[in-house]
Amino acid sequence: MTKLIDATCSRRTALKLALGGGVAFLVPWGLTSSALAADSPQSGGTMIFLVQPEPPSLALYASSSGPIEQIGTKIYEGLLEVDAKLQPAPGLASEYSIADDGLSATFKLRKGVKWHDGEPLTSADVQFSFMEVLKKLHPRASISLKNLVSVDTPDDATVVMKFSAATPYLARVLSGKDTPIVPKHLMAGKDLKNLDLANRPVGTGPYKFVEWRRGQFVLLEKNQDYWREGLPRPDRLVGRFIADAATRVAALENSEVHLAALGAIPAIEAKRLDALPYLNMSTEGYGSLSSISLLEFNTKVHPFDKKEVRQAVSHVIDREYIVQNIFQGFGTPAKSCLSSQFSAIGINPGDLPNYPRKQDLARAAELLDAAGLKPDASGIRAEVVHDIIPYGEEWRRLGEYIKQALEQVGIRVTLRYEDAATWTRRLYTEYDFQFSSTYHYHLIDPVLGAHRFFLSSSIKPGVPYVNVTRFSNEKVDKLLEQAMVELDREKRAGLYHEFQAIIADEMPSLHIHDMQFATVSNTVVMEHSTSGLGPYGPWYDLWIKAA
Amino acid sequence: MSQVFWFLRRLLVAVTTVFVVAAVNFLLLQLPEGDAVDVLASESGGASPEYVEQMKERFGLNEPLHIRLAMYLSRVAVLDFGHSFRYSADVADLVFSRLGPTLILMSAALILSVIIGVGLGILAGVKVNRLADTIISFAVVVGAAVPAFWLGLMLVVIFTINLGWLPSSGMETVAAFYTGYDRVTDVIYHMVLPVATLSVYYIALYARLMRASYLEQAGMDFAVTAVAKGLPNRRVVSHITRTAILPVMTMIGIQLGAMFGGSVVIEAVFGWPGLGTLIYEAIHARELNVVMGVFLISSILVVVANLFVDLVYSLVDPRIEVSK
Repeated sequence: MTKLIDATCSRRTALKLALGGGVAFLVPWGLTSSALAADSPQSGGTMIFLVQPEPPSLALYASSSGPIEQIGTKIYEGLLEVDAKLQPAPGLASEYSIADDGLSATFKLRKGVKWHDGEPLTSADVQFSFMEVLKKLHPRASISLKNLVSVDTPDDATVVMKFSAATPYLARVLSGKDTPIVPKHLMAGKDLKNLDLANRPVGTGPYKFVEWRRGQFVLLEKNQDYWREGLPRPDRLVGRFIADAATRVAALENSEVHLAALGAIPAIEAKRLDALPYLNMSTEGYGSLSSISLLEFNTKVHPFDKKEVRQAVSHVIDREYIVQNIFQGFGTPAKSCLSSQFSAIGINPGDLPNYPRKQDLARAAELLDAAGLKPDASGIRAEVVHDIIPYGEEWRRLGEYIKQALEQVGIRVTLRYEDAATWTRRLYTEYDFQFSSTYHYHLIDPVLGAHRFFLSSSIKPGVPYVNVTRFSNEKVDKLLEQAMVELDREKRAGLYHEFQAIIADEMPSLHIHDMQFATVSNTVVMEHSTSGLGPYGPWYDLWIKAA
Repeated sequence: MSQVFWFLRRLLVAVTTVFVVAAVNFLLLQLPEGDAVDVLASESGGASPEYVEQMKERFGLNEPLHIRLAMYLSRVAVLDFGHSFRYSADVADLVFSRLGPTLILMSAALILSVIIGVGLGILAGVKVNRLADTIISFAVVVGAAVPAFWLGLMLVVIFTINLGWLPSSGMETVAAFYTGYDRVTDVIYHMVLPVATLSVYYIALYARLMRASYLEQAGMDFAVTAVAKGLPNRRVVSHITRTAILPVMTMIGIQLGAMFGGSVVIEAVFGWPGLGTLIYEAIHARELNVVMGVFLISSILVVVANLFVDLVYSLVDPRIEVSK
């Protein structure tokens, strides 16, 4: 037995200390928790937040799309939660322990937890959630819980999970966002893919679902029987949908909505709004996404089939410039192919070659010469098409920058911008591309968010967000397989460092910057980012300051 | 008797039109690359191959094209809109719940633009080449040239952000729980900006058309005779207006479809929960059942509206009989 968490441990106190001391200092313009500690929390009020775009359903148990998670995590809960330092904390399970060999884990469920319809939560719900729902329907859980073979329920309050192989990241994927616990009594024996529950969720969380007016809003109200005594504080939460970005900004400025997260507000506007006395901007609470921007190369076609050409591109683009001018200073230049957030779990490879912060045209020209791409009479070495990921203006600006930058070394670039469905099909089904911009969520562990982009076994035509570069390297496959089951933190980090060094040399994909997102909120909204999940957190400790 | 025949014939044409539109829409929607499963899987940030295959099967995407077209048209025949897996809801429920707000927005804009547009047109016609006409004609050119999305955003900047008089978006105040009369007032309050934005172009269009038509009719023998007979000015204007309004009515019938298209932009800008926002989302998600549902409803709407315009014709001008 390696771990035991006391259910009554005051997580909030610990959080406040952490935030007040560290983050507040680093984020001088943000909504800092130290400033809030002076105010005592108030109950009541309605908090209206923007959700962009409107989700198709609220079936959190069958989707990992952002808008569904933003609303669903207030309604459903997981066995554990994620604290501000991205470490596991108690949730529906008041304590848990993982066996030393990593092959079993035991969870004690909290007493007196009720579903929103009044039924009690039992271990049978947990078993059903994992074995019948998440493993079968959830796009990410089906991967992260691949090794989960059974869930036993010795009694109503005890859950024992059995694994076929160790799962080092287990405790970090049990939050309501990744693996929500769902009500067996409303699902068992029904067609799980076509449930009324998908649009009228019933969970155990701090807020109950009331109404969804399509095209307008989702209304949630305080769960009076919530197991955390006296919480949540607001009477109501409203998730509003406004399709137009400029109107979203106007609604915030006019205090019609109180909070906008995750790119609902364009980066450049976020800075302007922050200057208004009644609005704040914060970049806290996005750690668990570990979002990173990159270029993915088609390693099977000219000219990016040669690693020197890929390395050359990495020397041509100016990461510092991109962060400052295209992403408005939100983020930091990438130093490896894994998110820098993983230093929280000991993965930090130090300086790797081929990730210069600044442009190095001389080195790029050398590399291109070495690859045999000599300039012709008019100075052109190659002509390529760059696909732009269709998820926002910044990527178009990035594409325009890349075009200009690569033309400095004689690579002529044509830009191509298509809609999401077309782009997805072109890359992931037809491999009809040379290189494309994109961004990945590495999530809370590399196994969950990063492995599938590099493993040979993840070259799967027709499946989005897998190994689209078709890069294949036996050593990499082996290292990642070992890291997947290695329980020792140091050894595991060592495996990743070796992996990162290989990718830095081969560069099937070129990582640009660790991305940051902004939450813009009205000054009346307090403590919206105390969980490591930020806008995806349960928001039970959020409160509204009476004006 | 002849009226009944006329009506039946028009009905037959209308039903055929709806079917042809449905078939063309269906085929057009097969052209874009990518399908609903691609979008679902990429929104989720990844999926297993089994998951993708399972979804394709469920969405019926593995059937050949002609089978899918035949299935679709047979469902149209019984007005079965189908089911949307993406939204976990019946398409009919999705579409009809969004039809109301669009109809409210469109009919308010239509009524407003007809009344103001026709009024301004008559005024400009009566005061031709005088100051009032010059002002109106200038305003009309500006109104017809301004892009709707830009105008909408400018109105928001002025009336919401600077003056704080009107809400920026939505159809009612969320979480205010107004009922009865208060709710109606609240909705009207939210309607002001979107209706104004949508109307501007049509006011300009109808005013210009009405002015031209009025001037044309004013030179006709019947108008000259009326003036020569010494009829009061008011009577002359009303005589001319009655004949001059016919081309405007034709235009209204034709423009209804365009107005529906325009409301897509307006709805997006003002967060108005109508069909426009639904179809915009659905096209990007390749949720073809929903897209076709909206297309079907809107084609029925336009066909019915045109039928209605033809009926109104005969009321306005008894010389036109419906049987002809």
